[in-house]
Amino acid sequence: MSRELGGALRELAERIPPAAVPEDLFDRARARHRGRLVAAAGAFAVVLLLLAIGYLVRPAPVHVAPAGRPAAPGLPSRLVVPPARTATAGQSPPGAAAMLFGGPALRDGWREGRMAVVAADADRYRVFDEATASPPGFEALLSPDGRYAWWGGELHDLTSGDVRRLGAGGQPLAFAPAGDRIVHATEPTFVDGGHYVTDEVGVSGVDGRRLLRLRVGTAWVPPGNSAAVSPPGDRLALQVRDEVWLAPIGTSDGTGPVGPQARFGLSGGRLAGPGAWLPDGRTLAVLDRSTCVDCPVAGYPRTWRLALRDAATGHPVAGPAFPELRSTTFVQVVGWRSPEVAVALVGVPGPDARDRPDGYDQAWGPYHEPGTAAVRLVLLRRGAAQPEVLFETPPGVSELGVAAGLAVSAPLRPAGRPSYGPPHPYYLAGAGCLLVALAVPAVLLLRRWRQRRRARG
Amino acid sequence: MIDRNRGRERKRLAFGEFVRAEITALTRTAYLLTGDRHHAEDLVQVALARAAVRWERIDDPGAYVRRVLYTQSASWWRWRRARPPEALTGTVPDRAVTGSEPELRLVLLQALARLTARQRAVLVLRYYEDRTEVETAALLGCAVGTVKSQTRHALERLRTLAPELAELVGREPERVGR
Repeated sequence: MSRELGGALRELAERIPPAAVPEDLFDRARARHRGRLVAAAGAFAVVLLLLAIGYLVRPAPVHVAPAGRPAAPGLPSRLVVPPARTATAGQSPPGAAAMLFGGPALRDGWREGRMAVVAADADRYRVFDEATASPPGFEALLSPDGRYAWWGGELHDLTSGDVRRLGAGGQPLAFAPAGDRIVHATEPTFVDGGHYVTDEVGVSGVDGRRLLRLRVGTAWVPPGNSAAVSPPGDRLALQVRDEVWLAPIGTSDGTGPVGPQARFGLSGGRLAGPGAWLPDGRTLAVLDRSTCVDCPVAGYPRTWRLALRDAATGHPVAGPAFPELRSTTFVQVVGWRSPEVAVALVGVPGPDARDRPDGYDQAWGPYHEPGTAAVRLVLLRRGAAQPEVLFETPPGVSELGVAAGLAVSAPLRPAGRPSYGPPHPYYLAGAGCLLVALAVPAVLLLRRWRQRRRARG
Repeated sequence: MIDRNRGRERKRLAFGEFVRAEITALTRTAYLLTGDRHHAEDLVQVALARAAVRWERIDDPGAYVRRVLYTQSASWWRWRRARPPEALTGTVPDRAVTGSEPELRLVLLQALARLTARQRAVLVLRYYEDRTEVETAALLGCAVGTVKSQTRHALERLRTLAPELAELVGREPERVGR
C-alpha cells in the first residue's frame, strides 16, 4: 500500500512546474525583515511614549485621612498657587473649603476670572475657570461652613460639584453667620447725575425663600463690607453711603420692599464686614478711618481701627480700644472668637496702592480694594497694641475669602502636601490631541510601508 | 565596506545556487501539502524568504526550508487563510466510478484537500518522502505516537472520502507501525 500511495503522490507532484522565485528574493526578504524590526522598534517607542505621557498626566492621588481618624478641618497654615494642571471644582469637587482665593498669580490673559479653593480637611486644591473676574472676598463669597461658593447669582456646592441658580439673583453681599441665609443686592442702575443706585437689598434663605426686601434706591451698595446678618439671623445691618441701616429679618413676608427700621452715621468709616455683629446680637462693629504719620508703608497712610456701636442707639460702646491697623487697604471682620477678639481679613498695600477717600455711588467692577498686594488673617484683641497675624497669602494672591466658621472656631491646621486632582480638562484635551498627532503619522507610515511591500511583492 | 559587500554577494550566490538546485523538489512537496499550485508557490517563497533572512546561521538549508514548509502548512492561521471553505455534509458525495489514471489523480487530489493540514503533512512525509515515523515526528515537532495516529486517521479518511482509492490506501484499516 505504501508504495502505491507514494507512487500516486509522485505522479501528482511531478506534473507541477517549479515555483517562480524572484531574482531578488534574497535581498527583498532581508530588507523586509529589517523593516519589520524597525517598525517593531518604532511601535515599542510609541508605546513607551504613550506610557510616559500617561504617567505625566496621571491623576494625582487624593489624600484621604484614614478611616476612624478624620483630619480636623481648619484653615491651612500655608497657601500655594495651584498650577495650570489643577482640576476644576466641577470636575472633581474638593469637599467643604477653607479658603477661596484669587489674584494675579492665578490669572492669565485667557483666564481672567480664574480663582481657587483649598479644602478644609486636606490640601486639596481646585480651580474655577471663570471668564469674568469675581474677586474672592468681595464679589465671590465662601459660606461660613465652606460648603458653598457664591458669585454671579450661582451657588456652587463644593461637596457635590452641583451649581444652583439662585432665584434671588443679583450681587452677593454676605452670608449669615449660620450659613443658612444670604444677603444680595439688585444689579445697580444708572441714574441721572452719573451715579448708580442699588434699588433693593434682599435677604433669602439658601433654599431661595425670600425673607426681606429692603428698599434702597438712593445709593450704590458695593460688595465686601456692606452687609452683615446678626448671629440669630433676625437683623440685617447694611451700610448705605455713610450710614448703617438696620432692618429686622423675617417680620415681613418678603413680598414687598420695606424701609430701614433704624440708622446711624459712620463719620467716614465703614461697616466692619459680614462678621460685624458681635455674638450678643446687640452690638455692631464698625471701622473708624484715620491716617497714620509713621506708617509701615510709606505713602499709604490709611489706618483702620475697630470700634463697637450699640445697634439700638448707634452710640459707641465703652471699653479698651482695638489695635490700630496702619497702612491697611481694607479690614473685613469675619467673626468673633469672643466679645473681645475679632477675626478679620486685612489688606496689605502694594506699591501701586493709593489712599483715596471712599467714593460713594461710583459703581465699578470687578469690585475689590485697589492696590492690595496680599491679605492677612489677623486677630484683633481689645486692649492689644498690635494685631496678631495668623496667616498671609503668598505673593500673587491678593484676594481671599475664608470659611468664617473655621476661622472663628478652629485653629490653623498645619499645611500638608498639596494635591491638585485629576488633570485639568484642558490637559486631557491636550493629551488627546497629542495622541492623535502621534497616531495619525504612525498609521500613515504603516500604510505606506505596507503598500510598498505589496507593490514589491 | 568592500569585505562586507563581498560577503553579502557570496551569500546571495550561495542562496541562488540552493534555490536552483532545490526549487523543483520544494515546489512538489509544497503542492502536495497545499493541494494548490498557487498556494504551493506562496508557501515555497515564504520558506525561502525565511531561509534568506537566517542564511548565515543555517547549517542545512534544505532541512530548514522543508521544516518551514511543513510547519507553515500545518499552522492554524495559514490553513485558515489558504484552505478554501468547505461545506460539511453528512454523506459522501457521489462520484463517477472510473478507473482511468487522470480521474484517479483528480480524486486523490480532492481527497487530500479534505484532510487536515497536519494529516496531509504526515502522508507526504511518510509516503512521498519515505521518512520514518521518528524523522516525521522530528520534522513536524510532535510525538511519534501523534504521527502514528495522524497517519491512521488520514488513511481512514481517504478510504471514507474516496473508496475508489482502495488500491492506493488499502481496503481494510490497518495498524500502522514500523
